[in-house]
Amino acid sequence: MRPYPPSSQMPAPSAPASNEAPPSEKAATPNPRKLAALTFLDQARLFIDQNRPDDAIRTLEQAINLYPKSGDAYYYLAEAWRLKGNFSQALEFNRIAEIYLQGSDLWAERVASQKRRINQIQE
Amino acid sequence: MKKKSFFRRLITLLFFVGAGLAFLISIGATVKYVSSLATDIESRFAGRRWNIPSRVYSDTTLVYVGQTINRSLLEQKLDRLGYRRMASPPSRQGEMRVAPDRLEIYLHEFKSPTFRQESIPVEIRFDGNRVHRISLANAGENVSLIELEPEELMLYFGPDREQRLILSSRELPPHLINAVLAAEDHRFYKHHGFEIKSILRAFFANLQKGAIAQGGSTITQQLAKNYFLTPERTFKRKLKELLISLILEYRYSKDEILEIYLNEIYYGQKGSVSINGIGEAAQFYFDKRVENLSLAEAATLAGLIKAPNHYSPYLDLERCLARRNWVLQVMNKRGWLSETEYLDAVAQPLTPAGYSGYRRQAPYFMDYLTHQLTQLYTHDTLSSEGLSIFTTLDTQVQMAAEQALRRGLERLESIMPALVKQEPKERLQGAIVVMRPKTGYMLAMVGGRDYGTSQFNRVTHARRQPGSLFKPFVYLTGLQKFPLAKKLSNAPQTFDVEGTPWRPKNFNADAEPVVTVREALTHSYNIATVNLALAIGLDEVVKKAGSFHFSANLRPYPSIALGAFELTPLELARAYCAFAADGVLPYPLSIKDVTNENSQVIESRHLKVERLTSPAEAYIMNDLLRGVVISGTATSLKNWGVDWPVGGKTGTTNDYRDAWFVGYTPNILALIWVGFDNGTSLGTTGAGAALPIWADLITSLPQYESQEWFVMPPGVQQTLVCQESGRVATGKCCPRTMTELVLENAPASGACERHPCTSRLERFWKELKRIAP
Repeated sequence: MRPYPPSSQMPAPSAPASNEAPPSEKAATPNPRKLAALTFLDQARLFIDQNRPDDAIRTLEQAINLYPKSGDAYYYLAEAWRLKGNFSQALEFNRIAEIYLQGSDLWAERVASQKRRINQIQE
Repeated sequence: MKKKSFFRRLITLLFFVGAGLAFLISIGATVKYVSSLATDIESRFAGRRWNIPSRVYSDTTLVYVGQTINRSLLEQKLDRLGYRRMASPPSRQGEMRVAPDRLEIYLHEFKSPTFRQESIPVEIRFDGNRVHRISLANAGENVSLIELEPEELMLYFGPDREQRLILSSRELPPHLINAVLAAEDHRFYKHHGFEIKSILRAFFANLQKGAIAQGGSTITQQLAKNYFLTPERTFKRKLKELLISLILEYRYSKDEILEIYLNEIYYGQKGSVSINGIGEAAQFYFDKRVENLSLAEAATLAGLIKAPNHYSPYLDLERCLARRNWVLQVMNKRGWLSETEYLDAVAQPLTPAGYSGYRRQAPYFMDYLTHQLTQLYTHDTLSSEGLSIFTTLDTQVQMAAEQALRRGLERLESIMPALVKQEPKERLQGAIVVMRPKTGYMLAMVGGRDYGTSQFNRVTHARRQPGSLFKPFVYLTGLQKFPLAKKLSNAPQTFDVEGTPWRPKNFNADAEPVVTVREALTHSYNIATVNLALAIGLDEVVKKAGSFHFSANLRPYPSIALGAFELTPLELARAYCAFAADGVLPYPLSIKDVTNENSQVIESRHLKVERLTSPAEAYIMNDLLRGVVISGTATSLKNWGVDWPVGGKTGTTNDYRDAWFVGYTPNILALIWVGFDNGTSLGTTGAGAALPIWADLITSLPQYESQEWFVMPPGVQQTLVCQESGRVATGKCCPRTMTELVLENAPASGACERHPCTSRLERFWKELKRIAP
């Protein structure tokens, strides 16, 4: 068993998707899938920091399988593919991240900035 | 006299020369023979010493707080993983206790490069079928999720069908080595490969009997016999054994000889598979790695070497216990155990782990996987190099799919006796493929009703007409030009196909003569769909369908709109994934990682996607296909207990030869096909034959239910549209409006041109005319 701490110790979800349940409802019943996916997201971020894109992708696949609306997971997938030098895949995942993170200005900016970075490298 | 003496001397001389020559020749021959034996031994030890079958594993299983699960499937999985049900709290790895409100599991230790599981006890508390809390039983600490180890699905055996876990001498605990030496050869570290005393004792015993009856073998001799020689009992073979032993002792260290011996020895049978080596034996008899064996367990394994099937704890526990205690006694006598250690060990009960015989799971998936693996590795490599192949298969989904198909086909046969065929190969068939639409993970594959009767994998090899399952690809092609509210003719008509009249019919003869694009797909109207395809342009439809990598040679005939060509179920399932994956087509993944016997990753397959359509178009397709379930041909899903958001499509081909249903949520996609291999009519539709199987499958997998739907992406909006033109309504100028999804910036999404509003006066006048014509 991997040492997965309780979800309360996990970082808060970064960017709610716009079409989800209203905030009051979400606060009352946190989505268990989303909380479980956060565990993998956290791990994937570490792998990316350690320049281990293959491990990051495998972990993010787990996160997406758990919670397919995880915009953060697609953002980091784009980041991992960028690290691997596959920019077309990176752009595809950046595009999906854009859909799921559209509700947050902060994330929208990060996604746009990521897109610029990928395009710059491609050029 | 002198002459006679000369001849005598000559003969004597010749005799001695001859004898000398013969001696030299025999010495030379012996040296040559020994040298060739030594070369043979070295070459065999220098290369791969044993054939290790590659092992195929399922995916890991997540259990997390808040998850709704099918407890029966989870418990079955734990059974298959070898967890033993106990009445008391689990006290060692591989044990579990099942209670109505909780599950206590002492997890197995499992290591792979991508997954590491410690051997710790956990407790899962349930609130009904929902996971309420997961805690580490020892520490009382709560955790958010646990990941159960992958399940061993299959081994690629060579002809010898041997299962073996190779260990190095560094991994062998001293008490295990001492136990083996006590049982088999306590002077191992003192002799040079043989014991003259033992050989003489055996020699005289054998002489008395006139044949080889006693061995008197050291560990080195046993290794020579087991590894290099046949089991025949002759003096010649015994001599050879002695020579090999001497060579082994000369060429290799004692530790090396012991390591090879402990990896080589036969340890009994697991069904048709032989257990070899002490590493595999530790797993088989005690479900442990050797380093975790207790003294008593180590002595048991040492005691088994002499006759593993005779002393097996699975066959005779008392006999095994007596043998174990004898080994402990010898250890004590040799001074390798203190009196206290001896008494403690002897007092230990003997509790073997229990096992289930080797059986192949998910056979159609395995064939599919093998086909892919053999593109990477030869059969010899797979059966000898001990690779570990980690797959995407979820055994709970696989079991549920197998059950759903069996139950569904039996249900059909019971309500439609005409479908019952006596000949096994002619029976009603079905196929199921289940995928994660976003990642392309293949969760389950059932290629037929009974693998024993028919190994033909219908998921990957049956080329069948998709019928109406193809229609969504026509509608996708038309999204830019034809808004969902656009009217289509659905009245019976004759189409000219290269000079030949063609009259497609709707399933429902009373269908409305004019329907919207949405209605046409919701109710799967054939005539309206053909009209749409013709209006879009058949070449466009072929081009769009081609982008989904369908293997069929698609031709621009009107019948293409009704799926009158052949595809495999897997191709169709994959294509539908693109709708559920925001317009990107995932590559179907069955292999995740392959590691070599040193646990190094040698192959890794990742989620890869290819964009086929925009997220906005994919979202509209999802909405249309959800409509099929809400108010179209798949409304019966709710009667089968599916009351959460699902997109789906039914399909039925000419003369009811094929019944299809594909259904999906953001989390899971499953495609069902039902039919006869020879194309005999089923006499029922996709909704009647395939849909109930889908519902049975999905309702038994609550862990895949999310109750969620897709997020609306940029580029699509819900707005008022003119019911006449299908375009965005112009204020109040359009006489009849409805709410509908439209693609922003699409040619079809402009303002209604049929009812332009140029001024307030005109609008007022038009409104007035509408109210009082």
